[in-house]
Amino acid sequence: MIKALYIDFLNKKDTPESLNNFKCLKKTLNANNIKELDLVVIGNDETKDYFKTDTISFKKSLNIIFDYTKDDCIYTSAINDLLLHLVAFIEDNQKDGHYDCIFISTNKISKYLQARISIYLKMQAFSDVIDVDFKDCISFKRGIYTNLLKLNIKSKDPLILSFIPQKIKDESVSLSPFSFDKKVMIATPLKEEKDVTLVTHEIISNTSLQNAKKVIVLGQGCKSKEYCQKISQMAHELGYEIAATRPVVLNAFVSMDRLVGVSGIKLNADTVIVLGASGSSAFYYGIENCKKIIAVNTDLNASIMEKSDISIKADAMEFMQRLYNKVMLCK
Amino acid sequence: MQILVCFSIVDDLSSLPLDSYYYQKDNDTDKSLHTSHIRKIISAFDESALEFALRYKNENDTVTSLTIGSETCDTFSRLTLATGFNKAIRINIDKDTLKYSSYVKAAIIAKFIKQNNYDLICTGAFDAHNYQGMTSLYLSSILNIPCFNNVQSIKKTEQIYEIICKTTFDLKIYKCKGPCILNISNIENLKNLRIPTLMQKLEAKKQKIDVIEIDDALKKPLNDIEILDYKELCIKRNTIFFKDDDCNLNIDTFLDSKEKELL
Repeated sequence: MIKALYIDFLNKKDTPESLNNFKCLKKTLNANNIKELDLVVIGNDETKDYFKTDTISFKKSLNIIFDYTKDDCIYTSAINDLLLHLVAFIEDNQKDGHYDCIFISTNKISKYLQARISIYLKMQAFSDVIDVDFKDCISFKRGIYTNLLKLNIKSKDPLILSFIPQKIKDESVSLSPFSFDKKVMIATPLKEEKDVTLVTHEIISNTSLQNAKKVIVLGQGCKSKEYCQKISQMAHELGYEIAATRPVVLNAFVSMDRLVGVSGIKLNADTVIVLGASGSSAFYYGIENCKKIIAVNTDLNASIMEKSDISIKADAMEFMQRLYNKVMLCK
Repeated sequence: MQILVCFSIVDDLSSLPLDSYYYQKDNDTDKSLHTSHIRKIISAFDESALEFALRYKNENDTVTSLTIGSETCDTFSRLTLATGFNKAIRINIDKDTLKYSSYVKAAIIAKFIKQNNYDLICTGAFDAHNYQGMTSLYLSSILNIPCFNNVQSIKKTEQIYEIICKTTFDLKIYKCKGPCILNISNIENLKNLRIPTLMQKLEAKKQKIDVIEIDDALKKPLNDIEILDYKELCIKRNTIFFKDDDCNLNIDTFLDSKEKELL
């Protein structure tokens, strides 16, 4: 029988993300016929509700009340207190046998926590896992080379794993009242003795490219600076943000902060129109999370054409001009 | 101030032709990647970290570049010397032995840091090859020093570092006594390492790259893992094509179709 632990992060703002992470976990557990596991939930406030589903039950549970939403929390001694409670829980529950796997919900501090627990427990940690199999020993798959290849790894020893965020449709998970076996509270003020102090904190406006709903990405097919400027002007009037591939940025046609891809920004747009880009894996990494990808390229063999929702064989400028005229005419 | 910048050499994914994969497609049991034909580059964010250190170093500061790998990395170590680094160090290890273990990488770097006192350690947030982004977090855990993410700039005032970090919604200024790790990802107007002049390149050729050998014990991962295989990850999108030879007809057909709703 597989013995597993799930460490989750939960607060009101993060509930949709946590739900999705839980669905990823549920999919893995169901596929491996695991019906029971232990649970630790780290929440900003006391956790009164947790995800309920017919196929999974929790044997031992702990609620750690800790404000993980502050980035600065990882620099404080509070994170050490959190770890002490977490490791104590793990060691206590390992008296009758080691965990085969510890799953950690994907969150902004989860990788840091994974690294810390990994050293404490001498268990190797891997992030961005796609799926896990428990036949004979643990094997799991994760993307490498900007998600172009899937690496399949086997381990005889227990592992600490976190899933790559994926959207899973599953209506059979709901938030229901949950009673934890134990609760602990950790105060999180920044402590001077830890040599780090937060001096100022400024909220920046939420209009960044990363959060834009509609984006047009300019590729090498947009041949000159003038060309790019003209397209950018039309795009802005149509309500699109402008982004670019590496060659376009390196030619200074578009500013560096608009770079999309593995060394730039990862977009989360509803619609992205890719104009004249071939679709190298390093670039595609930056748009793979977009809901709809529309590729416009004169070369039907460009790799982007196969990896898009809509592929249009056309010239980038001609496409923009006709789109612009059509929308303006309708106004 | 002693600044250390850790960088790694990776395959240049943007230079790959469409039909060139990293493994032998005909042989399902092949467990190794074939990457010798792929151009090598400094990992993108590591390159930003190298440039970051050069930009923010003061006159009396010493900047050292550190990489883990074989002799093939020396071209890049020499490049760092040409751009202004005072020292270039390579830890001699066949990268395949790291087996995707961020922990082993961090443990090796941590041992080196413990033997040499550094005030600042700069690293790239993650590399395109593996993108776990856990090496600096492991390093922070092993050395028990803070690790700042998304660092934008740094200033030193009276033995205190003022570090500006940016997240999606926040801009935060921290004060830290150091030593600390600076995790570099996107910084406005800072991406590539500066290009050295021919003179600087010639001067760098005369400089020595320090090569360090390490104990086998340090190369041991926390767990013994085995790579089973590499498979192509299929990107599935049910593509609708508008592919008539008449490009303008394709645009018009699309703009008249129900798919235009997406716009």
